[in-house]
Amino acid sequence: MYHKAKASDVIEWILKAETLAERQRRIQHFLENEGYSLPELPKGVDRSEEGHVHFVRGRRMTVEYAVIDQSGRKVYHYRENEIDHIMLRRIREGDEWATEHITKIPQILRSGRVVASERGKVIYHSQRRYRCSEGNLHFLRVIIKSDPMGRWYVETFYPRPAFR
Amino acid sequence: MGQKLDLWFQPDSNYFSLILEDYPRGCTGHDDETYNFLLHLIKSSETGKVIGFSNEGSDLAKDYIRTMRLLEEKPFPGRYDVPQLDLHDATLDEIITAIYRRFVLEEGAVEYPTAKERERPLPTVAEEPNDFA
Repeated sequence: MYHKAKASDVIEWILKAETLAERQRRIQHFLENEGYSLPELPKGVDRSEEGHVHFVRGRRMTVEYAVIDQSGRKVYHYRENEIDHIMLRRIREGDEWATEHITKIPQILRSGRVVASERGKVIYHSQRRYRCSEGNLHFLRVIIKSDPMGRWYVETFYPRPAFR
Repeated sequence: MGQKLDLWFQPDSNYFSLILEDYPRGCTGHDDETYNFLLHLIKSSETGKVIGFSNEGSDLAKDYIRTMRLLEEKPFPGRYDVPQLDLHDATLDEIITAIYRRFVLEEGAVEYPTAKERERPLPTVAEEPNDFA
């Protein structure tokens, strides 16, 4: 159904849904038609603050889970960020295959390699490589940032080709 | 006429993505190191060709100057049309500047000189004044 559709049209259709739940449902519909599925819930994460609301850049964000990274930072993962930023961007940029691996974010934060770091921003790189549906191998990268309160959160997640 | 890029801007994070309108969908990945993680080249995993650009993980408001400096050091070849910005035959740095001015500085629509006008040589003084020390 979507193979011939332009990514911008798919995004427009997803964004027409007013609620987060409906946008997630449309993303699921799109992914299933492309042969992918929504990521499973990650295991071994701290869900004690699930449902709490934080404000990031003035936007309401709902805590899905928190994870302690390899440097001892408590990093929050927000539901709104996962759907409206990470998933929509992956669809938009043609790397929707990586959405199935969003569940690897905690693992990458715990045992990945830091490839870049500056004040308030750290970029992690997965130890493992992941194969996309066409067979090519990619590493996964996770960017975390801190908000003005000093609270760390997952900013984004994307694939980087293993061979350039 | 350049290749046509489709623009998407998310104001809550100052994120932009520019994707070639006619690229055949398939697996892609990000080359984020060429421009020091500030500007990503989105490449087809199959062909390695660049099918778009984004500033994933950076913030155009904070990182505009650093991004421009990187593009000045290592210009990205090619000219593009971006209909949402009324830009034609523009280079990548001109496109990012237009996004910055329109969406971050909120200057509204910005008129750009056409490619022909840009290539016109700058007016020069006929002769240097004699008393120029």
